[in-house]
Amino acid sequence: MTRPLREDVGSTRRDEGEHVDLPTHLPAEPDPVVEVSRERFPRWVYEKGAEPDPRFSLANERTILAWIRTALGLIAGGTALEALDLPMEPGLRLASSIVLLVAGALVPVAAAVEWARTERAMREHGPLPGGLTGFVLVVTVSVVGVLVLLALLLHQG
Amino acid sequence: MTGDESTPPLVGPERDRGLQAERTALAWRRTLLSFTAVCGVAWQTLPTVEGPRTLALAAAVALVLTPPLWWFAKRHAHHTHRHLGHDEPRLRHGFRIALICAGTTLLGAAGLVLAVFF
Repeated sequence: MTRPLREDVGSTRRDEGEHVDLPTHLPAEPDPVVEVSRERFPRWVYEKGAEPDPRFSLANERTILAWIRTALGLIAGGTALEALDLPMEPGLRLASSIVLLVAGALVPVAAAVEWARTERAMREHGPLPGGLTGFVLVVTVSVVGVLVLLALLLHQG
Repeated sequence: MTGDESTPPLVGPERDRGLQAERTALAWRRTLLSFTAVCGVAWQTLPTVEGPRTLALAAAVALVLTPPLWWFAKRHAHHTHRHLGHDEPRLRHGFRIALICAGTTLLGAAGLVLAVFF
């Protein structure tokens, strides 16, 4: 059956004594072109389009990491609201905590979907998708801001 | 001057890589530092809340997970740096990104359970 390309080249060198200049910057593994579609995840992102400039892929990766840090902040805030027993109206404080924690769980999912859609758009040279994660964050912060304000005011009164 | 001659090529080993690999590695470190910090704060504050045994155990498990995560980030940075040197780099980061997203979502869900039921 078919053998890896690198092995074929090696046998040619041995049999015919012909000098072949192998590119030194390629990886030692078998040719990535053959295996790449099976190894890369998720396949629906990588199965179409051409390879984008890796600098843009890395920028996309840094964006999702920033979203992960934001999610960690939301989780820490939601946990701290309940754990530190702050002087606020208990029902609204619990509601704020729940909204923050739900957002903390949802933001990574939304960011992952956005990362995949952006990566695919870059591969197909299409327009970049809109900011779904940003919308989730805007709604969350606005709602929590109002809830915390009410919780503080009601506790004072 | 048209600008074309001075613009570095986008493909090929002579492409200007800049500090992309380093910037991405630092972003991973910042993210894991946040994770470790959240675990540390949880370790300090959660035992003062009711149900200390379960909560302290959860924080301890999260703290134990941090060294393997840092090792994972180091390997990831090495992978990025190595692939950027290739003629046609093919980054395979989807699985790692999915993993860290799933982990953060689980952390949020765990926090939700603690806030509602404890």
